[in-house]
Amino acid sequence: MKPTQFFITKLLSICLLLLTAGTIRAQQNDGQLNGMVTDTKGKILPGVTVVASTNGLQKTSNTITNDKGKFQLSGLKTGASYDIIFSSVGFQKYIEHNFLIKSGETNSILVRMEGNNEQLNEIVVVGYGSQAKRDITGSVGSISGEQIENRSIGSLDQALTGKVAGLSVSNNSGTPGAGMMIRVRGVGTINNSEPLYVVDGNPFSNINNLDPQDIKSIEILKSASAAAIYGSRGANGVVLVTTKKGSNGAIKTDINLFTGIQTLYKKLELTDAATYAQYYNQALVAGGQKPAFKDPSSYGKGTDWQDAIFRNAPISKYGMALSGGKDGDVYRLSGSYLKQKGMLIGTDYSKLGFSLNSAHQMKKWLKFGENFNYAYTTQNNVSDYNSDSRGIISTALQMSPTVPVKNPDGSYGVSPFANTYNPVAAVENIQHLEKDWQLAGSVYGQADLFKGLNFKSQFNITVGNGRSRSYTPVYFVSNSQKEDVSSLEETASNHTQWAWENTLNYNRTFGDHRIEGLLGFTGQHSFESFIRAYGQNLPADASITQSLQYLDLASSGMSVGGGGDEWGMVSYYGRLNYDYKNTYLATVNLRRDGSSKFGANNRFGTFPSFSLGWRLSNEPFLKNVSFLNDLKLRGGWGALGNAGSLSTSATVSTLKVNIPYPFGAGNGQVIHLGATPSSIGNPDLKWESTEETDFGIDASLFENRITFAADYYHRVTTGILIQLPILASVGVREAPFVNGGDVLNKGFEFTMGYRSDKSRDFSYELSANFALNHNEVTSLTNDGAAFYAGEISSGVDVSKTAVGHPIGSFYGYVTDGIFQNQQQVNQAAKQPGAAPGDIRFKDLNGDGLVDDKDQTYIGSPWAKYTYGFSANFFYKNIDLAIGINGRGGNQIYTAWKHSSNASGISNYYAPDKLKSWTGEGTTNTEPRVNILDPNNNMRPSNRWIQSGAFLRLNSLQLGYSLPKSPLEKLGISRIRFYLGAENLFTFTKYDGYDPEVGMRDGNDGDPLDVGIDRAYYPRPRTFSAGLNVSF
Amino acid sequence: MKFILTTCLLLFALTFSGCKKLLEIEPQGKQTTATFFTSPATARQGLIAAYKTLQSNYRTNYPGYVRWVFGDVCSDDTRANGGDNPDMIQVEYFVANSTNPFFENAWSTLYQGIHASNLVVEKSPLVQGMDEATKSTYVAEGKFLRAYYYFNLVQIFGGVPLMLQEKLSDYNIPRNSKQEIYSQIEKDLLEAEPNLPNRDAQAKADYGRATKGAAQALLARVYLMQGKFTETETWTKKIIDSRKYNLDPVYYHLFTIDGEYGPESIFEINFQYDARFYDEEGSGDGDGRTRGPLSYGWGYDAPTQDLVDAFEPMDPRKKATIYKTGDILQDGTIADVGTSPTGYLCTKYLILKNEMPDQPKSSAKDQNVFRLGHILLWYAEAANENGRPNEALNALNEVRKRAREGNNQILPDVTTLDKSQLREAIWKEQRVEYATEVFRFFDLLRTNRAAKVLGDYAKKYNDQKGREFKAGINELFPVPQSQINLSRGVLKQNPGY
Repeated sequence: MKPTQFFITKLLSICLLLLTAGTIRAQQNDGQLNGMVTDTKGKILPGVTVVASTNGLQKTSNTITNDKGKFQLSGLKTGASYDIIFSSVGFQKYIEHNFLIKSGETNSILVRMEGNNEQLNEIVVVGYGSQAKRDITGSVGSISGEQIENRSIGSLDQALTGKVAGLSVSNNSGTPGAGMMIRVRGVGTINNSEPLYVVDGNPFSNINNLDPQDIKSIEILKSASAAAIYGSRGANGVVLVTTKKGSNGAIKTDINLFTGIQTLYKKLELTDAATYAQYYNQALVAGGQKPAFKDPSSYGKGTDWQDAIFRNAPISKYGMALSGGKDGDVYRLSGSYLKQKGMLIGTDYSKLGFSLNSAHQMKKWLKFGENFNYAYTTQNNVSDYNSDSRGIISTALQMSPTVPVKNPDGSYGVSPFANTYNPVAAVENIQHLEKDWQLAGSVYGQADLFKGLNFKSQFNITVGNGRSRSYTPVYFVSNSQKEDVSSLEETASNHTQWAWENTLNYNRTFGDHRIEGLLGFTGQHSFESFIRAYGQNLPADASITQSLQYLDLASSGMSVGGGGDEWGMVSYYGRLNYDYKNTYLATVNLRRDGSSKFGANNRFGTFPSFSLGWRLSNEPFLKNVSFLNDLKLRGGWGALGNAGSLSTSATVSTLKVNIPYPFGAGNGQVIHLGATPSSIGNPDLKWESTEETDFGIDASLFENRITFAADYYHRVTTGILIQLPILASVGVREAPFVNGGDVLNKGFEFTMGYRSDKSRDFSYELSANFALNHNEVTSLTNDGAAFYAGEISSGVDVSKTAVGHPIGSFYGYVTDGIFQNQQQVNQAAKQPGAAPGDIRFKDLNGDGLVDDKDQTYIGSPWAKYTYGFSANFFYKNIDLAIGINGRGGNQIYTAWKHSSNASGISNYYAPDKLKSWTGEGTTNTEPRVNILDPNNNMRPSNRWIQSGAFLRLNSLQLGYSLPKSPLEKLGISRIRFYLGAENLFTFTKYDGYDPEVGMRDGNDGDPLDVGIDRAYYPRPRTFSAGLNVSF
Repeated sequence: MKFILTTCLLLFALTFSGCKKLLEIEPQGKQTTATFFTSPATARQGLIAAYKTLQSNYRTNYPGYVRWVFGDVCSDDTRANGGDNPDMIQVEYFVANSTNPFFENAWSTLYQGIHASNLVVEKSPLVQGMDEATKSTYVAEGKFLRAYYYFNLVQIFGGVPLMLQEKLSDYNIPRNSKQEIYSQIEKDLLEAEPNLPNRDAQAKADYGRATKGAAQALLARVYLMQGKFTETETWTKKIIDSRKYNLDPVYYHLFTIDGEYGPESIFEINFQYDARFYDEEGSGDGDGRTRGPLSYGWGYDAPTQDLVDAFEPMDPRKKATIYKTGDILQDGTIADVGTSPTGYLCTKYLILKNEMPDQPKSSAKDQNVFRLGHILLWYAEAANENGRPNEALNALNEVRKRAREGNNQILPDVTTLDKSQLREAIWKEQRVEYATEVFRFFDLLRTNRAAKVLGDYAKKYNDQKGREFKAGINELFPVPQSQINLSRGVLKQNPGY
């Protein structure tokens, strides 16, 4: 749309606004109305809002029922008719139309309010508005606040596990404060497929800064037609978070707290010192070298390095919220403090958060509000794993059990081998602290301009700052683990992101036709920058005196750095919802996005979508089916653009600068700075586009006790923005971005729910979801050359992304048992270095030689099916909630076994190592031990692949609420105690810590490096006790 | 109401005027290539980047081309240390396959150097405001560096794709023959040599940039590697006759920071510690880190007993090359080789405490690439092959004389004029004179001795080392599998892999 057109529309609406605003009239007021409100069973209802209004527009008088359910409205005009509106949470709004206030009489009314038919009338937030769930034609999954509250978890994303069909949540790292890998409907692109998070309309949000107790609902916009309104940032799905708001009524206080303990769920079975020494000797002797340990059995059990680095760690959270409101001015203020020690020594996390929102009905037609969340986090962390095996967990798994943590004289135990080090000493000599704060929120103004026409302008802003400080003292543990010079590195980063959204909404019903229209304009801007400073030689006491850890005290080796990133986006969009007789439903979206990331020629992309719904249950032929409450067929198609992971410099060729090389002689050499082209820009880049077709059915049966939804989707992402690997002989380091490659995701999703009669003493709710996903790369440019990722040791990649296979598939050789004797070696395809006891690899191409060409696809990191199950039971004052989730059909690459199953200096995984081949017929799975491994038994192969299937009892909560009546006398509405558990049991055959393996380096990592378990920080099992108090 | 109207109008006006700005945002903190190599200043930056690749080495964060693994660890002179680097041990034992990172890193790093050198050769003549003399020196330096990088590639992989321009219509080209690569190297060096400055014409602040002598030395080595003894003799003689280089009277002095660019030095790879760039591909992080002792580095490169025994009795070069635990080092401290698998480590890459009192972590020691000692022995070999044993003998004995350092009781002059005896004597001298200076494996290859020497080593020490070397295959290492994959088969693997 042209700006001028838009402007005229706006001008008209402003004029309308002026007209309607002028209609306030003076009133005479001497009439009264008394009344009482109960539910359908006659139970009195306190706290019901009662409003008298004329014409459905003018609010004249309002009040709230008292604790006897009674109310009195005064100041009403006698002789006039009013609409009396009754509303209360959990009940259907009741309107007594045209109630005549007679003069000289006692006007009274008795109202019975009906309970909400929750399922049917549930309102779902859909992006720039909300819609009754029953009218939605796209695919949207919902999670209510109750489903996630009171969990003993550190961050909100963990609560999403298993709640919505097609939403997969995986653990990247158990590091306190680390984020989960979240994917909606499979993985749509080779780039980062993280969904867009929108909190109360702010598209620059980190949901983990929120307190789960503050969440009212979370909606997952899954289908393209549902997410379309977020367009180019919603191609990977949208997670809409709505926080709790205040409501009219007296101040309400909620206190929530829990405390718990986190423990290691599972320890890897490694060999003890005696066994380790014995096998290492064997490996050396087999390789023609001298044994390293004189008397292996004398070492006994030795050190359990896992015990040395893991601990039971406390977690607690304290939270409080105040809310209330009067005459449409509502507020909610909450604060919480989370304190969490990490299970891995040297790690901890704390989060102090505040949320404030309020809304103000300035005029009948004009509303303002704001919504802010502030979070301050501190984090001490250590590297839990690393590519060069320098992480604490990988080191602990590799460290020889013959070495003590500390020697009797108090010094650290030292491995006799070069390049391994004492992980406990490493943690104790690292001081790495991160402190971040972020303020995210929005202010908005909303005006009812005309009948059904509404204008809203919302300005969202997110500002934040991060600081980190790493201090390395001078220390000496061994010759390979020491620092001669102390150093301090500090970084400071900040980000400012804003999005200004202006929308016009039109919502009207004309007889059987209901129309809802939306026109919008959004400008977005994101800016980030960081600076880094480093210095050496701090005062000697700095290691124990933090007040000396400042760069002003560093005396040499100063260095600084800094950088930034900035992009902007402009979008125009419109949406039209239409329904006829509440039976035929349609939604049409159109969106045009422009991004600064693209060159001037391809800056804008246009993305349409539509969806249709047909409520069969309203048709005459089904009207009389008594058990059927609702039955709806829906379907749609949509296209979305995506540029999220595109580098802001992708369209230009850039230089690598400050390349140092010294000239001169001796210590007088002077460093000169060079530069060289390091990336090739592509000015012709276009938007990546996702097209999805979705069919679904929603049904609700037997007085809405049973609900059912099913979806089929077919999503093709085309023109994926990828960094196309180029031949090294080009000589440029960074691969250029191109629009190359298509990815297909298709699958089914099923959700079923059952709820029993709530009025009984014992009631329950069950909900289950199941999703199938098929992921496949359908084309890649560069004539289908593959992408390799998943480096497990220098230069060895185990993941390959190629046409016809899922993104990031595992790739390697296929084993074919163990050579039992020389004859078998001679008979098999030629395999250089092979001897009896080595693995026979399959000669897949049958050329008589086992070589690189005999590799194939040996697994996929993506689950073919995922499922979740939750159950809530209520018996009188007792409640029980269970959350179960699982997945299957995926594989895990056990990269950690590359050290623990080798014959090198690393400690061994006992269940495998003890089964090593020792002679003909001993085993057909685990090869002989030999330090040289001449057959390269360690090569990437299906030997390292394990099933990733699991079923997990993920959360359990048992609560008891004190009986209401005695409490109410004290003014307390609720006291509830609960016991909770997280990550309680996992049924799996997987050998590693946790079958839920996400991405390397968390969500900033390589999106193709998935499902490769390098022994990441495992997720703890947590037991907790908590308390909820409301008054 | 007017207020609201005005505000709304204003807001919208602002929004729309901001639109254009929102879409026209430059990449932050990135310099584009738009003006690169158009001015003297940016041309100089490009030249420096072309030198940078020389420093490539084994590093955790910036794995690169590791000269000494190919030149020394693969030979009978040194071995990789410990079980913590199986990739390196596989290369040492000739059991590494085409996915081994040492090959991948060598290939891609050397081509980065070639890319930067190509830019210098191609763009320098077009730079505005730069005098012709500077232009021709830049071009010559670019050609010298390009020749050096291709020479390293061809020694390891044989024929490789010949890239001589920055931009090509198709980068996916098949491997050129070994001969074509060598011809290009010779051509580049012959063109570069006349335009490079003599060493004595070079300012001290420019030490490290290519000189006439450096090009002559590289050319001589390139000819020698191909067995072209006539040309080898010609070019080594040019260096000797230029009288610009003299043997350093004290052998060990060559391998100290103080000895950098001494009288004997022809070409060095420079290293200087600077905290700013310590992490920037290890500028201050030379061989002292990788091959140095455990106390400062990783001690990856351990001399064998065989090399120790190759030295004649009392040869001072032995102490300057090898040390063991308990030895008294040149600065008087007592040595400790830690867990060296052979019990020895390289003295030439050991940084003594008194050399780097402030920054023991770094290794700012230059690496000797070419020095007169090498040239004399290559001249000797070529002259002997070309039937001039007297000249050969003189050059050989000049080297031995210096090694004696005045002690006439040791290292007697060689006297034989028998061609094959003299050849053996020269080979023997080459091994000890420039031990651990990254020539040994290639010397064995060019003289067709690799299979025998390595096989004998395996037998003599009953060791895996050398046992798997197969003549006809292991003279070349495999082309990295990643590159073959990316080329979709245009690049062909070496035979036997």
